[in-house]
Amino acid sequence: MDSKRLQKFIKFHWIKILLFSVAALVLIALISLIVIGIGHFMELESFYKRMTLAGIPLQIFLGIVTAFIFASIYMGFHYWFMFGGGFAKLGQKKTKPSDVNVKWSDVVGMESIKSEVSEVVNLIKDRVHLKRVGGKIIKGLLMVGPPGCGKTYLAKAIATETGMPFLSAVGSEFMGIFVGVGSSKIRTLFKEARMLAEMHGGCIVFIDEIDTIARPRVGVSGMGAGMDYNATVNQLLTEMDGLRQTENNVVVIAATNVPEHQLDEALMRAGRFDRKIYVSLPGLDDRKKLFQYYLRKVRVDPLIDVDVLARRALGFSPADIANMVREASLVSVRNKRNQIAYKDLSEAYDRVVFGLKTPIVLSEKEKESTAYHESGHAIIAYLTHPTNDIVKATIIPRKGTLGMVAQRPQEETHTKTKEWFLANIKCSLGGYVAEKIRYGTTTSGVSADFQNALSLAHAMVFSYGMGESGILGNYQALATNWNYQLSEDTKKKMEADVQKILTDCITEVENILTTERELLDHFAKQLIEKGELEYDEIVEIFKKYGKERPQEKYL
Amino acid sequence: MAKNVLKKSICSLLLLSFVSCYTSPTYTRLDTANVIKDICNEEFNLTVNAWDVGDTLWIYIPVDRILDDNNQIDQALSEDVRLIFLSLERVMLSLDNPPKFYCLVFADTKTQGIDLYYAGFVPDLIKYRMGLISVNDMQERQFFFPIEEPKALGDTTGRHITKYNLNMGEFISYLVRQSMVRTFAAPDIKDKFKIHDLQTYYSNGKLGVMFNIEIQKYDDELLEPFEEAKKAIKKLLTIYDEFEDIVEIEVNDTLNKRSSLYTKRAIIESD
Repeated sequence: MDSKRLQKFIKFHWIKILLFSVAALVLIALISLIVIGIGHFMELESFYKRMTLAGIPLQIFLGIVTAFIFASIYMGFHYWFMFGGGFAKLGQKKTKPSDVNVKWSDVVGMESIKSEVSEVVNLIKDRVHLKRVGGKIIKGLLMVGPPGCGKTYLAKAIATETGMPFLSAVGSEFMGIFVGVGSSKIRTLFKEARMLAEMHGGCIVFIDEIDTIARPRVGVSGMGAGMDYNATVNQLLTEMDGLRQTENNVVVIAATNVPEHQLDEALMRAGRFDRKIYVSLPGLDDRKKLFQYYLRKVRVDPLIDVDVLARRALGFSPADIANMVREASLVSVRNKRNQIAYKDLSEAYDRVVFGLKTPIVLSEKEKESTAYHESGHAIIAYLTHPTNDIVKATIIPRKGTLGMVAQRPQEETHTKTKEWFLANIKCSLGGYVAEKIRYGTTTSGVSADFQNALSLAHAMVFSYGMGESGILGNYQALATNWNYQLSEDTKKKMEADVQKILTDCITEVENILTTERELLDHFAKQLIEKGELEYDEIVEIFKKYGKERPQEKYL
Repeated sequence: MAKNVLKKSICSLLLLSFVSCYTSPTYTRLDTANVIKDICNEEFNLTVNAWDVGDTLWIYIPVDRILDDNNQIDQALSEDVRLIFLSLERVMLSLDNPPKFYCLVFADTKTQGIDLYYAGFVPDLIKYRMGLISVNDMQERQFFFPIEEPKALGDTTGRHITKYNLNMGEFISYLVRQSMVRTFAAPDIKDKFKIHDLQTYYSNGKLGVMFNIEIQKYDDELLEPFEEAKKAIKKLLTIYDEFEDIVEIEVNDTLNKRSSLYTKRAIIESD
C-alpha cells in the first residue's frame, strides 16, 4: 500500500481506526490489570487467598442479585419508554372506544359532513374489502373549520363507530423546550398506535389543533432556530407515509381552524391526509336539529319554537348553541323556574352574543351622547339595510363598548352585493352623523365605526372593483407580493374612489337623519329611559313614525 | 447464545471452586519459628528469636526498654507488640497445623532487666482476627505479666528463659490468677482489699487457687473472694470446656481457713 492509498484509507476510516485503537488500548490495560492482579493474588498468604476465593461466590451471588435488580429497573423503564411512552407519553391519552362513548346518533347538526365521514368510517372498517379491489387504505383525515363546530366530537364518534383504540394528542404537546422532543413524541405516539393497530386491527390517532406542527417548514437560522420544528414536521410526514415494511391500519384524524393552504404542502398531499373535510358553521336546518338535540336533554317549555331559535342563532357554532342552552338553564334556575322559558333563552342569547353587562356608570351627558350615537346606527340600519334587521339597541356597556346595535340578516347569504356594502358603511357612519347633528361635534366613540366603514370601502375598491373610477381587479390579493408596486396614479384614483364612497354615504346619512330628526330624538330618549330596546320595542318606535319594513318573526 | 453463556458461567464456577479447594497452606509447622523470625526481620526490622516447643510457640523479643521514666509501658514497645502480633497472626492463619499456645517474651535487655510475658491460646487469636470475639474477650483469654529478671540484661538471644510446652491446665491457672488480680486490684475497689497472697497451680488434673485477701473496708455490696475465685474458674472452664485436662478444682482461702474441692462439672453448673 503506497502512501497515497494509506492516506486515503486513513481519511475514510479514521473513526474506525481511532475506535479500534482505543478498544485495543483498553483491552491491553484490562489484560495487564488481570495479570498483575493474578500475580499479586498468588503472592498472598494462604489465609488471604482463601478469604479472597471464599468471597467470590458471595460476590457472584451479590453481583447476580444486583444485576437482576438493575435489569428489572432497566426493563421497567425500557418498557415504560417503549410501550408506556416514557416522558414523551406525558399528556397523550390512550382511550378505548368504549370510553369515548360518543355515538354516531349523537352527532347532530352536520348531516352533509356526517355522510362524508361515514364513508371514511366504512373504508377504515372494511379494510379487507378495500384491499380486495386493490384500493389503498386511508391514512389521514383532516377536518378544517371554525372553532366549536364539532370536529373533536366527530373524531370521537368515528372512534366509537369503528371500535378502534383512540389515541389523542394536541399539536402543542409536541412542542418542547428541548430539541428533539417533538419528533420523539411523534415517534412514540405512532409506535404505540402501530402496536395497538396490530393488536386490535387498527388505531385512530387524533391530533387536535394540528396547525401547531403542520405549518410549512421554516428556514433554519444560523443559531439552529426552526430546526426542531422542521424535524417534528418531517417526523410526522415520515410516520404518515414513509418507508415501512408493513402498513398498519393507523388512521390519523386531525383538526384545525387554520385554512388548508396555510399548512405544509407535503402533509396535505394524497397519501397523508387523503381526505379533507370542511366542518363549517351549521345551516338553518342543522341549527334546528342542534337546538332539538340540546333542548331534549333539559326541561323546557314545550311551546318554544325551535325554528325561531334556529333563525335567531345565525352564525352560531354547535358549541355556541350548547352554551346558549346551558346558560339558559342557569338563568332559569336563577329565576326559580322549573323549566327553561323563552325569556331564559333570550337572556342566554344576549350573554353569548353580547357578553355580560359591564358595571360602568356613565354620566348623564355620556349616556345621552351614546344614546344618540346608537340611535344613528339603528335608524340608518332600519331604513337602509337591504338584508339586516335590528334585534337590539343598547346603551348598557358590554364587551368593552358603551353601547351597540345588534343586527341579524333576514336570511343566510353567502355573497354580498354592492348595496350590502354601502348599507353597512352607512350604518357605521350613522353614529358619527347623529352626534354631529345633535351636538355639532363628535366623540372618539366613532373610531371603530370609521375603521369598519373604511375597511368596507377599501375592500369595495381594492378587492371587488366597485369604485366609481371603474378600476377592476383584486389588488388586495397582490399586496402580499413584494415585487408588485401599485402605480401612484392608480393608487390615487382608487383612494379617491374610497373617499368618494365614504362622502357619498355620509351625505346620504346626513340627509336621512336630518329628515328624521324627530325620530332620532325619540329613539335616543327611549334608549336613555330604558337602557335597552328589544326587537318589538324598536319596531314599535318605527311604526309610530310610519316607518314599517317587513321583518322576520323574532323572539 | 444464552446456552453458551450459561455453560461458560458454570465452567467458570467449577474452575473457581476447584482452585479454592486447592489452596494449600503457605507455611508448614516445621518452618514456623524461622518464618516468624524472617517476617519480623524483613518486614518490620525486628530481631526476634523463636522456638517451637511441643504445642507452644515461644518468641523472644529483646528490646531496649519496657518501662519509660513514669513506669508506664514504653510507647515504642507498644508498636513492637502490635507488629509482633501482626506477624504471629499472619503465620498462624496460613499454617497447616498451628500450635496450641503462643508465648511472647519481651525482654528489657539494656535498662532494667524485665521480662514481659504475653501468652495465649492460638485458636483464640484466630477467632479474634476473624472478628468472632471482642477485644475484651481476647484480653480475658490472654495473660500478661511482667517479671523482674536481671538475667535479661544483655541477653539478646533468650538464653535465660525456660522454653517449655504449655498445657491447657496451666494456661487456665494463669488466666484465673489474672482474673482475680484484675477483680480485686480494680481502681474502684482496690482500697477495700489487700492481696497478701494469690497463687494458682495446675498439677495432675487438679487446678488450685490459694489466696489470702484481706478485707480493708466493709460495705453492703462487698465482693466475697471465695465466690469470686469460683466465678473466675467457672467462666474459664466454660470457655475451654472441650479440654479434659482439668478434673478437679481446689479453692483455698488461707485467711479464713476455708478450703473446698470441686469437680469440674460442679463448678460449671454452680450458680
